[in-house]
Amino acid sequence: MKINGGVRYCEMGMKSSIRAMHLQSELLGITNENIEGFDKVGYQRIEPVVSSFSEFIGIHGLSKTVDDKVGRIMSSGKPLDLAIASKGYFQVQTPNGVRLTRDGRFKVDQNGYLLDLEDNKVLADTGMPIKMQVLPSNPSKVVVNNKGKISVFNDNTKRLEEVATIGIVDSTGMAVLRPDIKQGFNEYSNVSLQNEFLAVMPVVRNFEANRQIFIMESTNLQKAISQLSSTT
Amino acid sequence: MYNMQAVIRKSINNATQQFERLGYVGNNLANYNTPGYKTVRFEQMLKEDGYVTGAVRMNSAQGSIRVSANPYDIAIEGDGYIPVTSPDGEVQYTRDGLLKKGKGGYLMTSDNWIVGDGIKLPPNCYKFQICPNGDVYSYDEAGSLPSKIGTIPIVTFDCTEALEQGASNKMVTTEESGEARIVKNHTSIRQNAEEMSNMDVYEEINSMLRLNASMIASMRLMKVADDMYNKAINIRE
Repeated sequence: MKINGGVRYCEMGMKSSIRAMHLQSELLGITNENIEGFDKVGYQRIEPVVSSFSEFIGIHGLSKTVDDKVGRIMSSGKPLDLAIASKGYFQVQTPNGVRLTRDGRFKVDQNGYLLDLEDNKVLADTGMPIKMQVLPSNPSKVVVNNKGKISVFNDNTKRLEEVATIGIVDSTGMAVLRPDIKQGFNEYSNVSLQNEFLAVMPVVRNFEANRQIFIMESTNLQKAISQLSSTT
Repeated sequence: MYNMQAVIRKSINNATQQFERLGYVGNNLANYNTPGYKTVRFEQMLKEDGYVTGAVRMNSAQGSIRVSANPYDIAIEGDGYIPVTSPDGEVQYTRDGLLKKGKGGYLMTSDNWIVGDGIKLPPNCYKFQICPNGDVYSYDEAGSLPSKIGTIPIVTFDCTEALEQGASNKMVTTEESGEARIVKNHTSIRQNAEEMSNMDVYEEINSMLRLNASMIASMRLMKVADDMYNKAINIRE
């Protein structure tokens, strides 16, 4: 920008301060999501990735990746709680299509379908919903082995009958061949609170630094305008 | 896309859900000594849009069985519930087997709900016996032959987890649970025994510590976001 008498003023500085502040507030949002997910079953940490040139393109240079490390696995004692101790996801059939989740808190409805907590059907490795041919009289009649094969104990024949193998896929939808399923366990998030709070500190400081610079530039501009106008 | 308002609202949402969960944990701990009580858990789900919702889930595992000296105490070892009828005629289901001889000589729960379709102990009952299959026999005097006066029924449901916990330690059927079905040929009733609650104190405490950490973390971050929000609004000092 060129002000009348030939004084040059660079307004890019103010813009880039604003962009940086916007970027830091987005980063805070991501950290907030991780902190919220801290004690939720199956939550995977989001890792913000700030690319170079984000000082010019602002939040368009921000992207997210999912940290797919296995979280904390804790015993729940419930036979229909499954945890994946390797990488991979369960598939559930929602009204909006198949969704991937690591939340393995399941239940069996009165028709024998295996459902998640939101009543979506859980899919087998064949892509069909898992349906028990025999209604288990008690959840402990359902047995899941470490490869995800589900069997149910039939009270009438006193036999363990195979139902299906639960489908485990990776994030691209390809089947995971050797999953490690644990029955009676829940997987909590892989978020560690201390790291998240440590990550907040630079975000806040960066925000404040940019704000100070913005204020300085703003005052400078004000000064320039008032001085130039008084001399004429 | 985030903004400051969303950060604060999500934190508030998470903190209130943790309070809700604290209520369920407190309820479980308070019922430590309630016979036949089944713990409930407030399971939380984090949706893709970042909001937390919850679902109540009942743990139907068997509680431990304690021997008691009172012949009116019965416990169910295995699945099922005893249907009981309220003074107003409403039917609900319970595993609380601390019975008593109520008005008119009927077997009743401690809050005067009639067991099954009414089992009346004769006035001259010397002693009575409850068999594992629920049959109740009464003896008129020592050495006399017993006579059958009724059966304590046991029912199950298609989906036990969908039962809803009603007032005073009783279960209410819901649409998903299906109708009650009488169990035949069972041997799961124990006389002179009571089923304790299936609560695991350590699990409840664990849950409480977790919810506390989650709530404090959300509150703390809310403060940080608030400071930042404030500074963003007052950007010109």
